Amino acid sequence: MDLFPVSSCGGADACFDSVGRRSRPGDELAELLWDNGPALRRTPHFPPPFQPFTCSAAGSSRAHELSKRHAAAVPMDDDVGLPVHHHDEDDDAVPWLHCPVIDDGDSDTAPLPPEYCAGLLSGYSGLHAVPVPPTSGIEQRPSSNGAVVVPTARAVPTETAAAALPQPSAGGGEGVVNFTFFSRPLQRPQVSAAPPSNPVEPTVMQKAASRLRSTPLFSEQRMAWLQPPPPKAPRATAAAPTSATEHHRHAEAAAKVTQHRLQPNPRAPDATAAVTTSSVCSGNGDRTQARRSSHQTTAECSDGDDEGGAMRRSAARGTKRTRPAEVHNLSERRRRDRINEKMRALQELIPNCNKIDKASMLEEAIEYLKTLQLQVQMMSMGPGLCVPPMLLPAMQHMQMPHMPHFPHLGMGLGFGMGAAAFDMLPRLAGTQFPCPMMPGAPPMAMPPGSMFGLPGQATFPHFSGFAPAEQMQAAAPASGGAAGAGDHPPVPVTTQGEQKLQHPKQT
Amino acid sequence: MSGRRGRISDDEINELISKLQALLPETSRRRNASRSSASKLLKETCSYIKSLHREVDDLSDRLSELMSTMDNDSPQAEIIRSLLR
Repeated sequence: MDLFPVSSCGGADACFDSVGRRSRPGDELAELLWDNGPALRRTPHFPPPFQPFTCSAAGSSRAHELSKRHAAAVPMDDDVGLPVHHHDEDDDAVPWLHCPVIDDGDSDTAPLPPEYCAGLLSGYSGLHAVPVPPTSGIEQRPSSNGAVVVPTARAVPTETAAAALPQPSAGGGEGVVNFTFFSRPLQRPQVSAAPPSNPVEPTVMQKAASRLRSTPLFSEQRMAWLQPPPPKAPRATAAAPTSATEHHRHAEAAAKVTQHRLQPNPRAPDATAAVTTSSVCSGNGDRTQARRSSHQTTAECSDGDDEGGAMRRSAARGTKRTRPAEVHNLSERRRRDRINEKMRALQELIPNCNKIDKASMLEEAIEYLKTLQLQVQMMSMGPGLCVPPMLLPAMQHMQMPHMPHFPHLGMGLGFGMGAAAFDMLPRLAGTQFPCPMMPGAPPMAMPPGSMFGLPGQATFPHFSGFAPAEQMQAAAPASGGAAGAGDHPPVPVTTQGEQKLQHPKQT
Repeated sequence: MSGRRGRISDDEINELISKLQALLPETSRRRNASRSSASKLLKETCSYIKSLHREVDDLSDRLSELMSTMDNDSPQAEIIRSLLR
């Protein structure tokens, strides 16, 4: 994406690869040129007024500023000088970031606290010198340059990347001097990364290039807190790419960059991973956050990434916890998260459940489950209630008086009584009838009678009508409800016939 | 989380979980080993509740169909209506 139309900043995701930024060689060069000296920045669109150093002034001014504020070097706007529209977010962190960095979003060059920068700057100090002797400086600290180059890719559009990476050949030859400057570091770790992910890396690279100072500072910063600042060079490089990535395709760039970083440094994987994660996370949502505090970012990322980020973060920190404990904690947390998730799902299923604590929620779930089971049983029995009267019209007038018994169960008393009635059936059926499970079993006719307290024989005629339903009742609870529910509807009809036949036998 | 557990006591939770387990269809629950994992149990409960919901809906449909076939004044209709409420 073009962070800035003029490509002043090479886009946030300007990665190593300058391909992405090829479009604006001119602008990018302008960005790059800041290293050499103030002049070149001709990006007109850069908003001149940015605080401490005009971003618009392109990197040059920024670069100078950087050198000036050595100690307090806040991560120069990632986009360094470029109209950092991206850095809008960084404003809070670093006032000078107001420069409308073109990068939207991102900013890896997020304004890192001065302390961060200090660390980076140490590395940069060498770099600072670089601008003056661009080539020489870069040579000295290829790594740092690389880092710088990468993160500041934003500021440095394709050109930088192009310059940096001969392969991408993005930019023109304008910043030749600068490019060589950039190319060195880029070539090193990022170069490898760049080619693979052109769109992302070029941006990063570009950004890094343009922002030599800023990015590395802040990226280093991030790395720094992640791990005891290892040699600046590797860190910077790693950091730079990571930060750059955030701008745009953090995922891509970060991964690539991280990979590179990982290789050289065994520990880096953790850190870079964490950083990457953070950058990715930040890229997704809060670039500023990530930049601002890589630390936080990681945390956020870990939250987002769940254990992965957390693990990495912890691992990166290293000293805080032991691995096994960490792993255990993570797995424990995972398990708990799963359970919580299921509890939430359960809560949604249960109507009118406003309990938050587990125990009461479980209780409600249990109650609800029972209610549902009952309801299903009742409903499956519904047709049975109606069928007998329909099938035995002759008995209807006799059944009618007895019907209320059941209606009482079904209607007046709601499920509670139904439950009671049902509960009774199984017991009665079990004791009095050898086959309570059989919905169609004639013996089932008895239980209803006993249930209602009516003389079994006298009520047989009724039971012919009720029997099927009652059989279903007995059968339903006996069979556990769900299983029998499906059978009930058809059962009453068939049982009816049987009932009639068998009634005489029973009596 | 663990703090809350303390207030509620793990025993209660375990008891509730076993109750829930009892309610669930006993299909393939002979081995109580892995099934009893809380999350698995909760998942089963959720799916069971959903299936019960579906069943209730299905039965409701059938009952309403049945109701349309019989006169609404009969007690059966009332029963069914009560069931459908």
